[in-house]
Amino acid sequence: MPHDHAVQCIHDPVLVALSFLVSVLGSFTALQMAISIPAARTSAQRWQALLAAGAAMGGGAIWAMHFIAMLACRMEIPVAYDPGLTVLSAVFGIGACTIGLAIAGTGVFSWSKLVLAGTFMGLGVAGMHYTGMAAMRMPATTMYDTNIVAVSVLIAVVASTVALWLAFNLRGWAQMLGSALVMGVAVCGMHYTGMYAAHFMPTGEDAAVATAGGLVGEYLGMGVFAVSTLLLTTMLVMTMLRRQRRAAVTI
Amino acid sequence: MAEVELKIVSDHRDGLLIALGEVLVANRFLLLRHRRMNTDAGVLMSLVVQGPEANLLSLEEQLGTHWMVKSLEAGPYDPNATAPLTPPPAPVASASLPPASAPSVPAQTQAVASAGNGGADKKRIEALLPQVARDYPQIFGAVMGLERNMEPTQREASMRYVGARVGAWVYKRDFALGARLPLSDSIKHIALPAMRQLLPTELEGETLSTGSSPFCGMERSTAPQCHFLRGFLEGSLNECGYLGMVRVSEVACRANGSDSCKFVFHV
Repeated sequence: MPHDHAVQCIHDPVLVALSFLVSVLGSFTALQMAISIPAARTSAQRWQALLAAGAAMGGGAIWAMHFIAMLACRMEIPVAYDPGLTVLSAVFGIGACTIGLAIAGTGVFSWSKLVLAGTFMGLGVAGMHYTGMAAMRMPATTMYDTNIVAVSVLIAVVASTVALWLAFNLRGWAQMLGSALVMGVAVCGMHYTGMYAAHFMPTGEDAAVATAGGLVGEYLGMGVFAVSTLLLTTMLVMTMLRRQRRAAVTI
Repeated sequence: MAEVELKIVSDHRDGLLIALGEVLVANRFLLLRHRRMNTDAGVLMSLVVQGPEANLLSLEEQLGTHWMVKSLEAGPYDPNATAPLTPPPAPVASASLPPASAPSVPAQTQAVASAGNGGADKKRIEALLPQVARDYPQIFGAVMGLERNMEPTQREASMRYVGARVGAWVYKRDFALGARLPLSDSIKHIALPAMRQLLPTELEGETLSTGSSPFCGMERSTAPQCHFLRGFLEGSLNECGYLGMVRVSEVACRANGSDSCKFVFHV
């Protein structure tokens, strides 16, 4: 379907690279928390690990990445974001990822669990993205190529499944870094494919009216910065604690 | 049906009851009652169990050679006895049982019991283990030195015990985080990489094979010699606590003339 009058979205390469970095960082933090779920000795420990991992994945790796990538998308029209839908997109991502990680981290590992968990995670990635896209307030409507949308969801599900396999099945460096990199590919791959599927058709509406009540880039940027900083701090603290714990294991 | 009271001394506080319970279940014994007392040396546990007399010998052997058990004392259960739990004065593998079911104590059980009750070997083992942790994975010099200084009758059980301690430590350090894997995946993703930290090792189906074991030595023998590696593999897989009791057999050894040493896993 030709979209000759569609508004172009030109991506800033530095912010695109940053978005991948944040998705890998968030995935690393989340998956390192998640792999301690099976070793939890009490229900409280299990819930703590699960919720922290779900928040890091849904809120950090996916949500923060999405909005850095949206800030990277330069369009000729002003864009703001509906606060309610922006929050809902984070809740959606966190919820779906928490369920996926709970499935992967429960009981003895199996292929059926892996596929189910990967599906939840992938749908969490995609659901967050398209809810976040629905939050856009601008003098344009968004139209989607459904075939490419389907491909974007498939990318998210397949890559999430591979990342979970790496994280839960393997041990050592391949587990830690490989899973984070692959999950970063899942999140970014899904997002940029989804952006490729989207076409923004101007409506001619007054820009001030169209963006009224929405969060503008500066506020969103601050929120994303805060989340990213929290992720980085958590990752560093966790890595330090793990190293200390490893050194303290007695023979 | 036999009712027996087992007194077990162990260094391990965590996971002990689960591990012992798996041995009981495997031998079709029921746990009627248990008591536990923490001591400076570790844990003293009393288990009153009931099960088929025909399996009693097997149960005692498996408990006596279990890597978590320092010493084992077995005796008939007296329901009228009200004495508090106290450490056994001289841990032996098997005490007075009813004559009809009096088993002979396997030499391996006695070897482990004496290795576990403060004998010279036990002291050497405890002195060596921190050095192993510091030098890991360059440990074979020290471990083989320990093996050479052991009494031949105690060598197998003691070296398995040392291997199990090291394997459990490696698991806790490097492999504890991740999903609960079934046995075949645990062999592939835990036992194999753990063994590869020490020696070049290959996986053939569900059998680990190495052509570089230093324990085979230059002398030929009719029995497998890689007791440390057996214990190491058992320790690395049993520490997780959810596989059941994994036992490792060395089905081929270079000391017997084979090309490589092969280890198979049973639950």
